[in-house]
Amino acid sequence: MKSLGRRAPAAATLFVVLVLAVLAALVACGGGGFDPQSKVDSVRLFVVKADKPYAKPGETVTLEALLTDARRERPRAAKLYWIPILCLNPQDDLYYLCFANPGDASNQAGATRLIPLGSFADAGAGAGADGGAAANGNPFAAIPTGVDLGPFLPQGPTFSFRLPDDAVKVRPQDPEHPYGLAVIFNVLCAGSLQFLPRNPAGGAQQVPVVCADDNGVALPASDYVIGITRVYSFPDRINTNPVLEKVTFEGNDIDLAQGITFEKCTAAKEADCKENKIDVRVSDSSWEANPADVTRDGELHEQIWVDYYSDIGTFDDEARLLFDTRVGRVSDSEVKFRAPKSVADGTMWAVVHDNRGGSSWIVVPFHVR
Amino acid sequence: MISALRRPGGKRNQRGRGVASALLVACTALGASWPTSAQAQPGGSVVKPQDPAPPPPPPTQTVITSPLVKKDDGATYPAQALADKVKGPVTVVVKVEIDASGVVQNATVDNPVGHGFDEAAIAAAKKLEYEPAKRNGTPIASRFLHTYVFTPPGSRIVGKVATERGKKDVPLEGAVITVTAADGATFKAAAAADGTYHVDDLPAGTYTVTVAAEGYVEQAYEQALEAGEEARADLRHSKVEEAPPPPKPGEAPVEEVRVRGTRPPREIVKRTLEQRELSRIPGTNGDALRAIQNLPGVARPPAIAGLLIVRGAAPNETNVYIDGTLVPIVYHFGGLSSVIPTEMIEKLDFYPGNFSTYYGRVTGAIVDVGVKDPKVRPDKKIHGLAQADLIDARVLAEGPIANTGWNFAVAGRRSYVDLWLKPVLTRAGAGVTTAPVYYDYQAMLQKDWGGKHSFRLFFFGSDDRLEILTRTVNGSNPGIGGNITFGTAFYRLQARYVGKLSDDTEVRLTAAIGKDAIDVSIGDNFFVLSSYPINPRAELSQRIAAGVRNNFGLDILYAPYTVDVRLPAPPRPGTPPAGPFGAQPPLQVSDSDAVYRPALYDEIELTPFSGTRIVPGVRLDYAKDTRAWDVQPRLVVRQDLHRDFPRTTVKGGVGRFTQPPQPQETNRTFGLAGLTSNIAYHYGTGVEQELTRQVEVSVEGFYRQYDNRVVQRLGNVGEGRAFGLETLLRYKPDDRFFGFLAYTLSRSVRKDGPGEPERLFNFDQTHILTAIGSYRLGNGWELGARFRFVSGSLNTPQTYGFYDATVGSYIGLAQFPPFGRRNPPFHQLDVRVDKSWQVTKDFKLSAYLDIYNAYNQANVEGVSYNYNQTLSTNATGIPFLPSIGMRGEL
Repeated sequence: MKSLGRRAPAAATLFVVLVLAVLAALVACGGGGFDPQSKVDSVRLFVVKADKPYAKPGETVTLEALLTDARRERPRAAKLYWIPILCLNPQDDLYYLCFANPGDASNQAGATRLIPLGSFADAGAGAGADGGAAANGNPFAAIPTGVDLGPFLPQGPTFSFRLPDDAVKVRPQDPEHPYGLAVIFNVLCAGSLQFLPRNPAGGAQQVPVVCADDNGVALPASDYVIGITRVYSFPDRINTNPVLEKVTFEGNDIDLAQGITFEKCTAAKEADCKENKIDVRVSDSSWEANPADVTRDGELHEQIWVDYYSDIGTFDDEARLLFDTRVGRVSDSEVKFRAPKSVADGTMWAVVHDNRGGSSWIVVPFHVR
Repeated sequence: MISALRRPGGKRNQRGRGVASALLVACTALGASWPTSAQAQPGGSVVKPQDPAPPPPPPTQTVITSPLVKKDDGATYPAQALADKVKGPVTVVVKVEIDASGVVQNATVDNPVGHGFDEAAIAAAKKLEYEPAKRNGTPIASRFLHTYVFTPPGSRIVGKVATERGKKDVPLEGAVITVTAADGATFKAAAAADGTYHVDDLPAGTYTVTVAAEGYVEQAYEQALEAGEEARADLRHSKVEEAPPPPKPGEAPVEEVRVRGTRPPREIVKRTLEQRELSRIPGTNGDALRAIQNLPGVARPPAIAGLLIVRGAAPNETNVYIDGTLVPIVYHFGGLSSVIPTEMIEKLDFYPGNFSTYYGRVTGAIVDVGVKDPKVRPDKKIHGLAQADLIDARVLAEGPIANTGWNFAVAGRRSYVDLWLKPVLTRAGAGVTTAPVYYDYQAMLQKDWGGKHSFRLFFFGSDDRLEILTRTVNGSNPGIGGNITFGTAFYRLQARYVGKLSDDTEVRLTAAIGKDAIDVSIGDNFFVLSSYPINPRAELSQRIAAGVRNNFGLDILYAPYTVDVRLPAPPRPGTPPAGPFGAQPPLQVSDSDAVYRPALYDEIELTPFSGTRIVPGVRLDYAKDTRAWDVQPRLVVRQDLHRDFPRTTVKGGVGRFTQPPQPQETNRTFGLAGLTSNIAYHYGTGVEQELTRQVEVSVEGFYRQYDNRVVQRLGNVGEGRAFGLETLLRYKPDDRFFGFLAYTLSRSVRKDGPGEPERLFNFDQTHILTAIGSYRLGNGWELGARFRFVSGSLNTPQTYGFYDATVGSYIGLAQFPPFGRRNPPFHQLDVRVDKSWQVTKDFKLSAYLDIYNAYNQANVEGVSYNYNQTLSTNATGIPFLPSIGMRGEL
């Protein structure tokens, strides 16, 4: 291989800066006083789980979304729309190049394969062997703008597609490790979904859709989410979703049907509210090996963490590490929850991820008395 | 006071006189008219023939009288002979024919000697005027031989001797200047009432010049002189420290300040900070290398980044050398302190552009740290110091090794950031395996041989490391968490020989071997490198002729290495990443290879006229990565419009500078194969003006054009330019005060490929104003302040965009083109107070308080977003932060 030696400090500059930024963040106070990601008060898409995080070519993959609509006012119901175009192996794995037209100066989008699925395939939107005619060979470009696409798009929490037989692609930069990347977009929108024309001077990363009200006015961020889901395919690697065994409250297993009941907080300050320790248990077998040709200090495994969300109360951390790549299971992984000051019923969503695209979740009712 | 000045060629030659007499006799015997006659002439070396021999007994009545010289201006010593460095007297015999009126009709040389002597002699002979020879009283034509003896003209040393009182230079009348030749011959002069002196008629050679004045520190230095050369040395003397120095209570002893004429730089802009400035600039904790960040052309780095951003260049476009040896890092952990202690630094040369061909492989700037030889005090004892502040502690010892002639210095430093950061990290929920800690160490052996040869061994290195386990995961970037390690280390063993092989020839050899190591990891991503660089250098500096010196050098870098990398693909400049860190399958490289980059350079220092300096040069760099040679011609011109005080100098330069692609850019996995070097053209011009003896101002304009710039994973498709104006108003350190006011106005832009818009460079800062001053109040107190006003850094605004539903984090929509919004201006005042006590004759204690951000300005360093980029707030930098330190010196 080519050299990666002298001036390697420069090679690692970005990485080093990243490490220093982590240190600074650890030492720094607060996060700007914003609500954490764990506080749910809007339309939220938590995760899209693939039944096969690493699928084999030719396999059918089913995606399942975990979502909610926690808005106080809901003039129009939020719906999850799936854009039935499989974006296969976008240039440099850049998801936003899926929408770019071939020939765009900055994106080399011609390397990306766009495969219409379902109704789009039936309608002939697409290009080449993968579909019918489309402007510039880009089926996204064939989608009319300013039209409510809702009636034409698949809806609901699940979506399935078949991974092409030739999904795995040799990468010029790493020919010894070919893989395929399939990107699927969905939009959780509490309005009408419309496609946007592409701005030629807007750079490579552009939002392709708008979620609008009945007058065509774009809705705020609280009313929609544009989701990206990645499914990888390796010829020689497998990955399974982590297995979430149980949830504990103050060290005790809970009944998921009954959920957890907390005493309401009576303290004047939120910081003085009682801390309730909640933890999740993921099976040891979920900590899969993470194959690597290059190792450091022995075999590498997955990193597994859990994201917590709730529509009532507050968590002191929005995510906790469960398994480190080398250390393994991490002690003290619990999160501390502070109940609100008023009686309420709510929900906790605990979503476990591994760093190879695997995920699982558990939904727990919260009651505050 | 002054030695008599002899005009060139003015010396008489008795042997020539004898030759002429013999010729006269012979001619007379032959019946020819060969009278000879010459007078000593002020302008030439003229042989005055002996009086005509008495006429022989007259066989007949014919009486012949010799021609008599009426006018002889002498011959001028030829310039060509000066250029050819002819030494010793040269004799030229001219055959002269005059007519009956005494006018020279012809002059020829039968035995030419070259070097311009023949022409000079003939020209002089043709101007001779004679009383003609006579036969029996009648003027007749005649021929005769006229001999010129050329003696090399004497050289001279001129200058002025003064001492400093307050802010003025006071002449030191009567100071004795003694010039001692290699053979022991001495020449003396005394300074006149205005302090001026000159020592004339010095033969070419090397002299030891000693300047002594009663009650003042004696100074001595070596001076090589060519024939006819005039060397100038203005000397400022400090008073002799009373022995032993009994400073006033609390008063620091007077430092010896030596300022003498030095060879002008080979570069258009060379900024040198003196020791006192290096150690006293507020806000730097007395750290020398952090002091550079205050100079014109240097941008203010982000809060925790120890980066050098010079004239709109990326940090990796600036190389840092330690006495000519390239080092991989300059600062410990994000700029807390530098890897060489200030006490070991003699000087710090900073070249923001148009640098000499001595340096290469970068398109930006150069910092060369000059480490001083071990200091040997008159008592010949070992001395040392210990210093501690809130960040680290360091010790240093130096002195002679018995009576061997060898001297040594050893030093070391260790941080104790770990003592306070470990509890902080633990409270934040992190498991700390190795708390952040850094070391550096230095050891030196050095010896001089008669001031002409010096050899030095210098071992130095640095080590930074930490290891923590973070249990909290950042929801927006879940890949950043878990086990985090950070380790960087390097060491070098450097051998250096500096020798003066002759009056004209100097050689400088440096060789360094060592190791660089990096071990960085986050989660299952890591970068582990071990490299063993070997860096031999040699420079031969040869004076070819008066005003012409050639510097030829060799600069080799060979670095075998092993590397293991597992990292996500780096994003392309100007484009957002593919997702949160760690969301992509990492790329992997495991490799062993070697970097090989030899270079040759040659540079000629021309001084054709008084005050003119022209330095053309060329550097050839080869890079194994690109398999190509890069030719880099460069030219620098300096012209003194006014040499004496107040000096005015204009200067300009142009040059081609290349930088091989970074290894990760040419790596097949992380970059693109087949890349060629980045190219930058530097254009610079400026003027330097002395305002007073202490105050000088300089203004420089620069323009830098980038071509063939490597854009990660796209190739040599980038362009760019940077341009600006730098001004520096500087009060040079004196007994009481030093300070400077630096202002830079600049713009730096990049274009990341054809069809891409031109964008502001990441670190572009339009206005950079720095004002620094430090004043000794007396009784050991010194008070200093630094004020900075700088345009805000750039950021790329983000808005609500996508949600990575696989990883569970939002991905902001980055504004295009990037770096389109500027933070509010930065301004900050730092204050430093020093106090020293001379506790005993040999022990000095000092303390300082360095207050960073004295008025607690909440300077914006970046923008902080909420989890989905719908809300943002400004992230501010380091608040009011006092730091104290103590130091003891023996």
